[in-house]
Amino acid sequence: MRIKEATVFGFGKWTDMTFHFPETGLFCLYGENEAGKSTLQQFILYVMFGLPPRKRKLFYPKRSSHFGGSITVKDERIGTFTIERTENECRCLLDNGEEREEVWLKEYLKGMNREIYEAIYAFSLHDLLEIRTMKEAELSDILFSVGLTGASQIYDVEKKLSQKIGELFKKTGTRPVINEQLQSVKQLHDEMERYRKEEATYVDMRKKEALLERELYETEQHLFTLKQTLTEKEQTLQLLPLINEYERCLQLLQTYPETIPFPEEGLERYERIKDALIPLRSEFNVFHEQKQQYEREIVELENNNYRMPIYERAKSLLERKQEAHAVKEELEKLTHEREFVQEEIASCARDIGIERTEIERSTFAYHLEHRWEEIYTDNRELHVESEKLTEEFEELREKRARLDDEKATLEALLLEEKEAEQMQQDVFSYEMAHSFLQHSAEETERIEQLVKKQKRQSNTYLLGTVVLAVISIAAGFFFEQAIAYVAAVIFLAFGIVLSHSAQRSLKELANTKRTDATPPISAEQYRLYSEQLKQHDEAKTKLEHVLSEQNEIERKIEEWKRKSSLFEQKEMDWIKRVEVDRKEYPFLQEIEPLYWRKLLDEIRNMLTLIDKEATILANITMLREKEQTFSHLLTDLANEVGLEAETMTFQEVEKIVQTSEATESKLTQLRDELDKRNRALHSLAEKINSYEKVRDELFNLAQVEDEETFYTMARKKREKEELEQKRDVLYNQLRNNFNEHQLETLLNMDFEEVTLQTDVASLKEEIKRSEALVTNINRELAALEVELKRLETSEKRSLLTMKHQLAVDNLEKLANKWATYQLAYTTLQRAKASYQEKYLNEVIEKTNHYFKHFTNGAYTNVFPPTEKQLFQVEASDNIRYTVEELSQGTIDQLYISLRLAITQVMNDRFQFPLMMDDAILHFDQKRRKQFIRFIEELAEKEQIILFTCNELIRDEFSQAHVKTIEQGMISYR
Amino acid sequence: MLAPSISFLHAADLHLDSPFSGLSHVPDAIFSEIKDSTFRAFDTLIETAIEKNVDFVLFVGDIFDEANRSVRAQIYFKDGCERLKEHGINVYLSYGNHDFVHDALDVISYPDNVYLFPDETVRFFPYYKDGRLLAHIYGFSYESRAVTENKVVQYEINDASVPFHLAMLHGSMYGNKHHSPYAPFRLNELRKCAFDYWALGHIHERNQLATNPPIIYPGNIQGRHRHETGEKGCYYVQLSKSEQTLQFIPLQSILFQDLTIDVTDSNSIYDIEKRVEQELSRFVLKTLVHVTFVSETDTILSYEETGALHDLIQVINERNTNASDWIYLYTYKIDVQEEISFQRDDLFVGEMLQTLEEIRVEEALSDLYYHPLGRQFLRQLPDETIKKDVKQLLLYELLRSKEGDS
Repeated sequence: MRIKEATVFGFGKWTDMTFHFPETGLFCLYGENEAGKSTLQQFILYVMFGLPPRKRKLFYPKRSSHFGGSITVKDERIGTFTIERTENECRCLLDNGEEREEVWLKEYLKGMNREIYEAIYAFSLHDLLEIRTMKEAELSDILFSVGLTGASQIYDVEKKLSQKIGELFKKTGTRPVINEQLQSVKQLHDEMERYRKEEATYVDMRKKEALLERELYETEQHLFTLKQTLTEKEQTLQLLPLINEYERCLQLLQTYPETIPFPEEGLERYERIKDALIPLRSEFNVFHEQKQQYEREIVELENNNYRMPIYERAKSLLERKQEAHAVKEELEKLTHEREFVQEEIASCARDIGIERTEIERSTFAYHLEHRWEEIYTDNRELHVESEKLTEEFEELREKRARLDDEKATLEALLLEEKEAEQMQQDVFSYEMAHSFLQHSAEETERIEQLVKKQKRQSNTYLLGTVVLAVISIAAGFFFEQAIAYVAAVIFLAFGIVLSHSAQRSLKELANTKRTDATPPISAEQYRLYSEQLKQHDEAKTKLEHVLSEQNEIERKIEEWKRKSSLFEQKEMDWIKRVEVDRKEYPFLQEIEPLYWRKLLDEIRNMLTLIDKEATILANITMLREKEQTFSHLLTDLANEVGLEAETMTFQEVEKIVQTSEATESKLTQLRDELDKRNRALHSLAEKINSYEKVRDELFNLAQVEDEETFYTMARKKREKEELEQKRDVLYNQLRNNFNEHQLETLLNMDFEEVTLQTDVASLKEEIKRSEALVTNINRELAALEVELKRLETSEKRSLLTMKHQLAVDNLEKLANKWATYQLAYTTLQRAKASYQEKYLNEVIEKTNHYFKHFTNGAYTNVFPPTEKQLFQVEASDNIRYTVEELSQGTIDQLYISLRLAITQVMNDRFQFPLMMDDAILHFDQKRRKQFIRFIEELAEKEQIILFTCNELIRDEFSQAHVKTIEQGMISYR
Repeated sequence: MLAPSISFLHAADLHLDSPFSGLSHVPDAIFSEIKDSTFRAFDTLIETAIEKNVDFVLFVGDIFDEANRSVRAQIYFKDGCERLKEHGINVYLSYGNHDFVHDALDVISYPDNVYLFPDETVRFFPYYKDGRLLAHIYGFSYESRAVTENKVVQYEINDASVPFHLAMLHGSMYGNKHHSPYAPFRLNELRKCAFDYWALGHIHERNQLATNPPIIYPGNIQGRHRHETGEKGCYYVQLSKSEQTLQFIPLQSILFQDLTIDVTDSNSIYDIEKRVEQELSRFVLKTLVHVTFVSETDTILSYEETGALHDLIQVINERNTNASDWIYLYTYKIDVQEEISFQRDDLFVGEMLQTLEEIRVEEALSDLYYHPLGRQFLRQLPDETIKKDVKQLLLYELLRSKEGDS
């Protein structure tokens, strides 16, 4: 970029001022000190990069309130644009009128800032002093300026990293965090290892535990045996008297026979038998006496009692006592009943007036009811029929008489036959005549009307034809047609003809009116005759009727006669039937057949009663027979018991039965008792017998005959048993303390009390020792157990592991941090080194070139400083000089060469204007000229702005490039 | 006769008494819970077995951790087996690469309900229920740290008339790059065998490789570091000839979780605090959380630089930590996703990045990692990880300070 124009609104001492920069690229601004050169330089920097408010204050214009300004630059890529920066804003106005903000500017500047710019593109006289003392580091500094990252930033970062690295870790230190952490991890690790080893003893402890347990078991076994022996010995000592006693007992027992024959508990058993036998025997005696007493009583009673058959007969008779009584009562009842029925029959016979015997003789068939009922009804019917016949006959007779009278009357009314005929004829004739007259009057009237009509018709025709004729004439006249006249004539002729014919028919009609007739009798006669004829005809008709009625009556009479004879026949028949029955039942003679039917009911009633009586009688007969039987039985019994037959009643029979039963029951009782006694005696005898058997057995077992020797045997037996018991007690006491084997050994041994006591003492000693051992082992085991338990439940290892892990993690975290810082630091340093290496050569080469050029070949080579050495230059005579050895001018040349070289290296990337402030003040004229020529050449490629207060320098430049500042004004020379 | 059926728990990789890693610092209350967490998870397992009244429990290797095979752990495990015995529950046990047989403490004798596969030969134990032979359980134990041969071929069904055949195998699939190839197998091989259930162990991440037959890694029962996140536990399996029920049962007593928070839009440290608290409210208690702050800007780096972020995490932790109820942020990471924009034209930065790319990390860091103690206790992070951090740090430091000046 090149600055074309700078317009100051107000900045430091400048207000409302515009600087035009020449197109050539070289611009030398001359001004004395305080003329405002630096201010302008600051202004350009301000517009391009801005200023923080604090620094900005320094440049507020004294004579204007309008701070800021603008510069117009030309860029190869973008073209011409203006950057305007005031107090509060910054904007870029593009050639095409677009406006951009500061961001755009920053982007355009590619991150270039004031500091870097100043480092690279602006240098002044003061800077030239640096090169005298410049060593490697300083040169690097300058070289870093070539990169955009300022050296100081890199240093800051480097310093910061270095500090952090140092805080974190030092290879040989102990205090940095990582060193400390490493130590603590190590400690934890060691502790963990120690504990791990400790835990590893767990296995050994377990093994030891097993060993101890084995030892404990064995010792305890030994102790047990010892204690057992001790107990035995002590017991032996203690039981020595008992053993002696036992042995004495055994000796005593030797004196008794091996076995004493005596039953088990013989004495007690014998006593028990004796005790049982005594009461049994006394009881036996008592029962025996009682038995005899009962036997006597039974014999006595049996002798006094009735014999059995008598008792049984009396008893069965007595059982029928009720029956006998009933028979008697029934007999009385039936006798009464019979009397009553007989009385009733007699009453009946009286009522109908027929003897009982008569009825008993007759038989009354079943159909009699029907037959006598018929006789009754037939009689009734015959009676009615006879009355009806009589009535009918009377009626017929009356009718016939009336008809005879009527016939006579009618016959008197009749005319003579001829007379009647004549009168008939006359009447007819009259009637004929009268009817004709009436008819002709009507005809005349009709003809007259017809004539009138004909007349009207014929007139009409005539008129019509006349009219037609006139018309025809008129037509003929007008049309002069002959035919019309002819037609008129014809019409006229036709009308006349018609009229004429009508007149003729009228005449004919009038002629037909007149004809006449005459009757044979007068009208009066006619009326008389007609009346007579009428009467005659009526009478004649009635007579014919009467005659037919008469015939009818005659026929009915004949019929009646037939009926009458039939009736008589029936009547005869009925009488015959009555006769028959009366012959059969004579008692009917006196009785009207009409009442036979009723009588029959009475007879039937009586017959029933008679039957009843017969039944009763039969019952009475049967009962009487029964009564007889009882009487026989009583008599028989009386004979048996030897009583009078008369005195024998049922009361007596009862007495016999009662007495007999009482005796029998007493006997039964006695026999039962007797039986009981017999049984009791029998069982007692058996009991006694069995006891005696047992007693004999006891005697047998004891091998004795009597009671006395039995008792002696018993005593001996008891003594032996007591001895044996004592022996057993002693044995048991000994057995309580020893087992069978021990006891046997003991009994076979001879003991000395002193020896035993010595043994006991030594045993006790040994037991004490063993017990102590057990206690020790147990204690040891317990301790071991505690330790094992501790290891098993201890969280120490978990805790240590966990802590160790945390520490390791923490260490790792720190280490990672360190690693980052360390690597960053190393990277930075190496980058720096390689950067230097890369660009130093280029820069030195270019410096060499410029320096050679500026010194006009006096110096041929430039050597960059090292850590120990300053800049060196080689003269054309191959002699090297350090920078200190050079003159001020040469140093300036060297410095400018270096700066220009850097700029040139930079300008491969950026093209910013180069600003020099009295950099060549120390140059001699020759060098100055050379330098100015050089930068004039250089300015063709890039813009160079030179500030100077040296007129000589100013004058070296062609006027086109120079501006002079004088009293705040710019002027071009 | 009832159709044969069995039920069991399948667990593996208990690693009893092994510590959590990656925590560096925790409060005392949490510390003691962490210390006992593997035991608590084991307790829950035993309680589950009893509660479900299973027939037996399968422990497929790595019950203990070789370095941490403490007496306590072994006694604790034995006591657990004894509790199962009281409830008539059998235990089938095989050792894995972390608790191989030669390492075993032989003085501890297990109760008689424990059937331990004694060596590397594949054997089987019959399982009887009410006098009826219901299953053959096959397996083997590691005799040394590594078993590298394919053991699947040795799994042969002994008696086909036995209703169920279960196989216990502690190993990894061929081609698993993240784990040592112990007792390697191919899924197809397992599928081909006529086993009713493949109880696998060794891989700590739960994984059901197949369902018919079930081939299952139950994972470990308690997560112990950042990479063992989420629920951990065992499988509750019910098998009959017609049906299989597989149920995962969480056992862990402490949960590891990852949390990623995008703080690009957070304008202040308080914003971040709010975000973190909001996210934490979704977690259950007793969770150890690793937070990654993701951002597209480097603001978060300045919070880290000033220590504000560190303080914030501490404040949140103090707030969320009571005696027994806690959610703890044990570590955090910053991931600035977009590279800090730097001037490509900046020659030095370019040079620096180039240098960083080429630098030999091991050499640069040898001071610490070759330090006698460092060598013993430290493991260097992968070069790439460190370089990434360094790049971020340097760019931030160099360019930030520059911006700060303008």
